[in-house]
Amino acid sequence: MPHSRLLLGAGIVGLLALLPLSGSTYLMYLSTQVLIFVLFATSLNILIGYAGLVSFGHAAFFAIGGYGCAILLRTYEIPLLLAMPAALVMTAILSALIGSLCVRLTSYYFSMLTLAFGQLIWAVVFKWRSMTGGDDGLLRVDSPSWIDTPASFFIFTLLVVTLAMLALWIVAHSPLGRTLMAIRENQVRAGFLGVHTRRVQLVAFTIAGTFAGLAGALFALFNRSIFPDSAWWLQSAEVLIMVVLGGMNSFFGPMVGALTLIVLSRFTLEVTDYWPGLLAIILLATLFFFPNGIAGLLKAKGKR
Amino acid sequence: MMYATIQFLNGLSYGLSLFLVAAGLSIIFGVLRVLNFAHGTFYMLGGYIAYEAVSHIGLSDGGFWIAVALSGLVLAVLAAIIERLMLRKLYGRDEVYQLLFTFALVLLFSDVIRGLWGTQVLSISFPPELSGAQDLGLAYYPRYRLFLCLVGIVVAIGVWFVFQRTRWGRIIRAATQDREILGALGINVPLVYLVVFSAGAALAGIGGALAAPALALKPGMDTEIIVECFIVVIIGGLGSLWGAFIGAILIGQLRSIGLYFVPEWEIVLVYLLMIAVLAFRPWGLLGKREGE
Amino acid sequence: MSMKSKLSLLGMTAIALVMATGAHAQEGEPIRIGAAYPLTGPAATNGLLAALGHEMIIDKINAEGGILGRPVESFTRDSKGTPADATSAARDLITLDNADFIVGGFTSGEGLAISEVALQEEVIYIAASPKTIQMSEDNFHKYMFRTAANTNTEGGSAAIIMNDLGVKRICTMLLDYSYGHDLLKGFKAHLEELDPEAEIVTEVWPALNVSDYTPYITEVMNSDCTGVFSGIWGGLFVPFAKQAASFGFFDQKEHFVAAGEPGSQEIIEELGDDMPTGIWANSYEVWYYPDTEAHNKYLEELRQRLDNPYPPSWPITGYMAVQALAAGIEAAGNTDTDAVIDALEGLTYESAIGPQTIRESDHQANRGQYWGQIAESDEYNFKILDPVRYIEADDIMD
Repeated sequence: MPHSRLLLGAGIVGLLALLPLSGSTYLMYLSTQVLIFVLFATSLNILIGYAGLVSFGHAAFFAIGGYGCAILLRTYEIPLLLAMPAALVMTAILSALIGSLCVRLTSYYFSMLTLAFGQLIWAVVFKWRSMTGGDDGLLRVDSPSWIDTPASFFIFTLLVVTLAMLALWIVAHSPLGRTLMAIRENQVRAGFLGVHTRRVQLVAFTIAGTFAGLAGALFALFNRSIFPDSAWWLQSAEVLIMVVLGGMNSFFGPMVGALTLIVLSRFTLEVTDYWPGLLAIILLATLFFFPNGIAGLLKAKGKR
Repeated sequence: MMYATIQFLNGLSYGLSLFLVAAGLSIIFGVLRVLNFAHGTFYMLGGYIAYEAVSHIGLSDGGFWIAVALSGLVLAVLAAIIERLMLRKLYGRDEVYQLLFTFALVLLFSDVIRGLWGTQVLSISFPPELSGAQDLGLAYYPRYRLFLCLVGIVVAIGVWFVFQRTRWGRIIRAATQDREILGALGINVPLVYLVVFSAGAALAGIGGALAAPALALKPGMDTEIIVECFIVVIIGGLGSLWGAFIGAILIGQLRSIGLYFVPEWEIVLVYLLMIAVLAFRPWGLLGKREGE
Repeated sequence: MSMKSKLSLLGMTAIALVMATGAHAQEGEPIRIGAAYPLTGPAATNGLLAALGHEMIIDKINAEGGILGRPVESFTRDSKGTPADATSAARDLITLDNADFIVGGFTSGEGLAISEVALQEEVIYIAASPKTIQMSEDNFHKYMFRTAANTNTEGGSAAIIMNDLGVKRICTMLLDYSYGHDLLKGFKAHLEELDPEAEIVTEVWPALNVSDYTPYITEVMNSDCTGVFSGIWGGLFVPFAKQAASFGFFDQKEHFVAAGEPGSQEIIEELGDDMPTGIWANSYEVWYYPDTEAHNKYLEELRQRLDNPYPPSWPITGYMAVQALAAGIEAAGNTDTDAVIDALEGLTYESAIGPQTIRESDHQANRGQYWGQIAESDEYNFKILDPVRYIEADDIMD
């Protein structure tokens, strides 16, 4: 089974790699954006789907990764291949720090605390004008010449996201992933079995934050700019919707969620401005009628 | 001295109007264990409904007060319908579903409001009986803001009285302490939830209606107030009435004091206070420890 | 399951592919102009009216035979008031709608983000209302033009008004984000030139998203300044003015100079009797001034569209951006980007509010500022600007 999945995954990546042949810049941009959010949503799902921790401040790490990479590239003129890993290390350290405070709590308290830290990061980005440019954001985040066309940047993103997804897949199916789910199902029992629950959750939090940071770094490069809005809590809410819409009980659910949400919003906005209202209705339908998201829906159909 | 008095009153009146909204948020959480993102939306709807009412019946001859009462009523009914038809089905499910349910309400109603009232800034004038300033001996202060202080204090005492002295209050307090006990005592639990959710929403609606003359109605006011309310209840403690009260007063005063001492970093100060509270008492100043 | 979901993923990709290539295939006669304005979110009030102005001028151009005899096709996308959405709106306009030129933006962040896309895609962008000086200084590039005033002009013109009022001790109340800080820079620089003795004694900086201004109002009232310069823009002025009035602020502070267009018809009408009389405020456009043929024609069109005898001021921003662009294309004689850039540099074009010149150095139009003192009116049931002053931009753009 894993072999056929692996093959299918490789097939999809291979097909996607052919996209630049279409010659459509629009398609490159759209696909790049989808890929970045696929990674962002999947990273959040490590927390929600596996650890059962609902973060409402995940955008903070997206922004930290994005700003980190942009500042290193632009202000300190460090080459991308160094700047990006360095930004990730930075995000990892901050995730671990914030995470160590957050995983002390569970349930709603955890959600609120992550929301609070998210807003704090936003406030710091907004006020620290000399470093972050304040609300003017950082512009001219230039990629090196080998990825400065929409097609080459798409291929680069595809490569990075594929590797990152592979890494996340391994994490999710490793003993760590199974331990997380055990804690999620029954924290007390997992504790009895000698699992250090907080430490395991902290590791998950750090991994999730770091990969969100990677998505953020890609996003800053993709837009060639980054603004404080990327840390704002509504950004966290958006990615959370992607996860639930796609299905949080499945590794690939958030992937489908990100794709659906982005493509659907594009199509809807061609017709009407009332996208938020429509999204609300879709979300309500998801919560009440197919709580396992699109992935769950497909699974149920497949079994029939 | 005069300056300090006025700044104190500024912080107090702002904090107390924040309390009207945060109190409902906190009580709903205490009883239903639902973190209601739509609470800011209820506040916003209250403001717009009051605006609509005032534009039909006018401000004078008690028109404003009818509008405020109407806002509370409409919100109570609306919230009751939402609880009965939808929210009820989500109790006992993963909390992410409840969170996203209330967030879906935020999205939905922001578009409903846009469809009905458009996107321009709207405002209501001060009711004639409360316009102008009052001589406090030390300083003159706007009557309407003094009135907001009064409302906040009256509501706080009123809710406290209900909690302490009535059967309903005891039930609600019991529910906050231990939810299992309710069913065992033969209490109609679904009704308790319905009433609490509805009353909390009504309080937010009234808060919005009362804020309309002092502030303004505009898109985005729902998400602005909800973030402030979250800060208030994080500091005060989720589920605690007096926690919300203290949190709201602290936030109000911090802005006035921060402006005086560290004008550039006044926003960050609020977040720092929040982090400080969380570092030492993660469940808030008056919140109860998780899991107890 | 994941098999199926992957298949559906492929299906959707295919749909997107067909849609994109379909759009790409269109290469026709019309000149394609894309507009990005906030149509939803908190900035939509302004954005929708700017988009209306945009639509009006496009229809007018087409009715008069197009540009270079070619019809104009217009595309409008929602920038939602946030830079990330503005980036994707601008990209869609260029890559999906194949716009040859883009206009628009409302907030400074949107303007900077769209400008960045214009640079990457090498498409001309005309900023209709973002004023931040960052766009023409640190982040300037040759594809960016601006028909809006910049923050130097706005701040500088406020300094001129303040100086004419003879104020020596000044308080500032500016919002704590780029627009506020940039305005102060423009204001300070020109104030020093005009009157070296005048000084700013108190600065207060409310955050952009506060709804309660009372601590700042009290702080300023506690200062011994006699004049106040504020930059509380657009709809934000409504709650501010009401709160300030309830403290007797405008009675105590004799001179109040309000930048950020609170003198616009929209705000004056919304505030009604609560609009403080005697203060000075600016506006993008004033429907009773100037009484020129071009302006009156514009107003006539706008009145018909909105069925409102007292038209709002924001549509002018979208209108003028396209007027400048059309003049540039006409002057270039073709739609080649470099030719149009050359033509726009130094170009004087006829706008609805009179001739405007785009200077070569930073592609900034010499858009001046309408200022006026709020006065009671005998004729209307709302207040008016009387007198109205147009302050030329030429000496205060830097």
